[in-house]
Amino acid sequence: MTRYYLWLALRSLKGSPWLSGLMVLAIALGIGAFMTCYAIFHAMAGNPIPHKSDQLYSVRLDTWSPDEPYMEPDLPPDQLTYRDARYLAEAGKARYQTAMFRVGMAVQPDNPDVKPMFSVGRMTYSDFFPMFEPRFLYGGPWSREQDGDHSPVVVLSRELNDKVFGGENSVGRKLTLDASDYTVVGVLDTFNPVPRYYDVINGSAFGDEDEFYLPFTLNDQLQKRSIGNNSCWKAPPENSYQGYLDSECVWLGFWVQLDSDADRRAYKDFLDNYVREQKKLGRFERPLNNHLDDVMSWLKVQRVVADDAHIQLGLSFAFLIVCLLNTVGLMLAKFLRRSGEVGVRRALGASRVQIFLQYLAESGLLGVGGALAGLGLAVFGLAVVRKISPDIEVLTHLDTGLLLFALAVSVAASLLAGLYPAWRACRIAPAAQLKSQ
Amino acid sequence: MEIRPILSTVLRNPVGLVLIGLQVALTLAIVVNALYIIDDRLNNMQVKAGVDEDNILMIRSAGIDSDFEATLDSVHQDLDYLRHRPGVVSAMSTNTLPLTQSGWSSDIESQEAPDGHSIDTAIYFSDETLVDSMGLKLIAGRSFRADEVEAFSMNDELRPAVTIISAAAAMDLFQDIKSPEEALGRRVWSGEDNDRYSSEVVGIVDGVKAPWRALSTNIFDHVMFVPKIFAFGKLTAYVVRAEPGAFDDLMKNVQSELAELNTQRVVMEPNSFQEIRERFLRADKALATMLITVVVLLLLVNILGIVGLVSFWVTQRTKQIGTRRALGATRGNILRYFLIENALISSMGVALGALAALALNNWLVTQFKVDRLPWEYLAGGSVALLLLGIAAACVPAMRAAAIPPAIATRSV
Amino acid sequence: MLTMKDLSKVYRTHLVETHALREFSIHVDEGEFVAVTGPSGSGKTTFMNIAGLLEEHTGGSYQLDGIEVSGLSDSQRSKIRNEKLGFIFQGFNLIPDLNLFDNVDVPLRYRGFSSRERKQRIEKALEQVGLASRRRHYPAELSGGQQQRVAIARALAGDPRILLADEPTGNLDSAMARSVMEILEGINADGTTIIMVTHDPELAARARRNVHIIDGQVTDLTSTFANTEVGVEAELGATA
Repeated sequence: MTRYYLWLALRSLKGSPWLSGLMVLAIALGIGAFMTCYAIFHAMAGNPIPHKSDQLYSVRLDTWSPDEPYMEPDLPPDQLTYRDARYLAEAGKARYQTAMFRVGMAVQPDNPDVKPMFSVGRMTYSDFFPMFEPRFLYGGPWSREQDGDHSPVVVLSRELNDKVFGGENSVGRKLTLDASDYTVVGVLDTFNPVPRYYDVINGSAFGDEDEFYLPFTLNDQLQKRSIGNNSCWKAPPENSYQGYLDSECVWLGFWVQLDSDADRRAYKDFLDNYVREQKKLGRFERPLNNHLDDVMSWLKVQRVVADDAHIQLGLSFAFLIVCLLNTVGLMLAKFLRRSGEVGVRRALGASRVQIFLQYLAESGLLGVGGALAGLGLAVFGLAVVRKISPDIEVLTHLDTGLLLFALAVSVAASLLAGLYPAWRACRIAPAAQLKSQ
Repeated sequence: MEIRPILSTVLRNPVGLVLIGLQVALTLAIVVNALYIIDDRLNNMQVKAGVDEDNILMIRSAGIDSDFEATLDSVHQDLDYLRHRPGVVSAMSTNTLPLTQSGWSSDIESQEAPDGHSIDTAIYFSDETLVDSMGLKLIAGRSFRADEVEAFSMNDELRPAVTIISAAAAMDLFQDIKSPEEALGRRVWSGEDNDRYSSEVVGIVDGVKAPWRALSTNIFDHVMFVPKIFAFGKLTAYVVRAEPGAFDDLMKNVQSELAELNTQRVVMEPNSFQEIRERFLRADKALATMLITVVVLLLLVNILGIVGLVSFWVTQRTKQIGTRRALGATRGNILRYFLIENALISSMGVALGALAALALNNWLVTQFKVDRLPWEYLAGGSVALLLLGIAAACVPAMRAAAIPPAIATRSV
Repeated sequence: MLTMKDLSKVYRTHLVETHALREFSIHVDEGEFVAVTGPSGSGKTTFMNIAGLLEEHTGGSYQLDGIEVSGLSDSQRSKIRNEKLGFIFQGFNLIPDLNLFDNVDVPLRYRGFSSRERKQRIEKALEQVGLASRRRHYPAELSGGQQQRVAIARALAGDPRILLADEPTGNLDSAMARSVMEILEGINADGTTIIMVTHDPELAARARRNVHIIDGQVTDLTSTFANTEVGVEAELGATA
């Protein structure tokens, strides 16, 4: 019977190509606009590391001025001071933990054909790799011992390895950064979590990956400053790099991996105790206000999903509703224009359910047509977004899941739109239309 | 023609009323709010940065193995080259430019004893060529003197002796003055309670913007220039202003020219101010484009919906219309009947839509940085949508009017 | 085959009650050819609609082929319409978008026959009305008489127990009307019960039994002049 319904539906749609086209267009426009916005929203709001997003925590401590909070309402700074980050990293109370900040350095390739370039990388502990799980193309991370030994080692991004070493396995070779040599221990595969949750403060949550990773402890000699965000409420105790490290300026990210709820509570206690101890030394003048946010709540706290994306999603959804209301009207017009046919079919023995299904099949078919056309529009819409905002290119892709979602939304929406008209059609009394006058 | 019988027909079969009414209502709610946001964003896009936007570029370099002294030498060498380069009006070392979304900011106060009134201001590093290098409009006082300009290392405290501030910063900081010029000679204060320092205001510039907008403060208009040469570790940045017509050549060649001058560093690609501006306005442009598209499509879908449904009603009532014509109704009567019917439905939709628009706006205000809707938008939108609805109904209504009275006597 | 006893049908609106049928009783035997006549507004159509299960009656009892249909659900009634009843309408009521084959197919689809059986039945039915060669044509391409013959084929294809015809020749000229009538008589001769509403006394006269409805009540004018001549013509019609 389904085939019969679909056959009838197809005939009926072909029989009134303009009206059918109009309905498909209405659904397609609604789906196209909605899916364009939804794809972006979905990527922005996505979970970048689903299998352990509830085990990774960003740490915030309230080192800010006693006079006013870092941000209303009574929020601690988004980053840590050097003293606290270094202490927590080396205390090693969690399974994994790392302090980190971004640096800019000049890369001088050995190959004289490749010009020196400015490159942005990350100073971090070896725990970065097991925590955030980037895939290695060659080699692997450096070890905790090498952290302690201030070993001059480096992990490269795939992109930098391509530029400097032509994509070869460069493990064991030397990379020259700011005129010093570092031994390559590993090369990452492309590492593009969306959003880039472990550093949404410095640079864009949807921006480029770091090109190299150096042991954090090397900074004892390098004395780099972060090329990211730096906030101070109080001048450093002295005018020197050491003074900066001892200051209350916040400029480092800090993450821990805590595998169970008990671990999380234990770590929170550890933080609270640490802050209490520091209070005795005259630091941490604000009330105890330590935060542990797992990945998804951290992304929420940092408002990674832009307000504009919410507005766009909401308005495009409302637009979809208008398109559907429109389709309901057109379907009603189309179905009821054929009341005579329904009356005849009913007289010839079609039950209400059969009539209902016949018309529902027609709306379903419209939905499929609308979905396909709508997906085309969404692909076009996303291309336009890419053109306008190349910096959010990573957000503008439709994967299989989204395609199926769009198809499901479209068919569900048009079935929903078809419910009332089909119900009206199946309520047509078998006798009512038979007297032809 | 009377409205009452039409109204009762409409109410007897409320499906059309509900469908078109809801459509019109939602459309009004969305369109009015969207237009308001669009207007706001288009306004943003009109922003003037207060610099010579067409002729300036920014270029950065990073030393490879240079200490602070070497970096400073390289700055002087670069500036000397750039300032004598044909086609260049002026050049200076700076940390950032308006609209770049990154830079430094600080709280400043108007008095030595903090009185709770401070403003957040952006800080630009600059030298005596400031006005020429950026193309600023100096409305009072003077530019820096060469002897006031000092080198600045990251380990130093800022503490400038003199400063030049934007007119808006002057007005917002010194609340007792009537015009920005009166701020000349006053001091702006900074620092901690036990360690206050101040800078004398020697110049006022008009209209220059900060690198970013902020939600909670109007930092966007607050700018403070300090006479310092910028060297962030090994990083330096220059703003270069070209003579009219010479910009493209400068943009094309400046990177390789500076690279040749000193090979012990990496010179990055220059950014024209137009690029900086485009990047700054990207989000506004994206949202405005998207909303304009939705508004246009929405109106289109509405028109199609109304044409479709009214056509259906006309078809359904063909015989009735014929009968009316046979009984003496003129074409005008029939046309008017459908138009009044549609106007009734649309105005109910518009009334509902006005309420929905206010509710939607209320939600946007509480959730996002959107302002309250001015009533003109609501009124204008309502009237426009009503007219649009009637215009859309005209097409099928005219077809209805063309139905011949003879239809009444025809069976089938 | 069909028995109505004290049947009534009342139409109610919020203003008035109209009694379309009252204490309406009739019995039709298997194989009968009944012509129903009566002035307009007398209740003929209401009777046909109720007999055909297109409308529900409001009182009394109605047995169709041994089944009491009062109180059956809509889908049970649909099933009976589909399996036991055939309809022929004054306006033919073919579906304009479907060709003849697909039109005849409509009730068979709801019956759930296999596609082979449907094909056989459709071809047989179209042959019976002499239109087998035009099965790919659309209704608009046929004359009124041909369209009505398609409608008859559609009614016959499911082997109904009763054929209900409401003014089947009302829209046809007399030559076409005669040929349709001949086909109906042939069908009746094969054993199918036919109930036909008509206001044409000449046609009514050709039926074996005449029933007159006035004011919602039945007056049976069982024909005393049912003659052999009709039977002969019917046979001729069937072989023609």
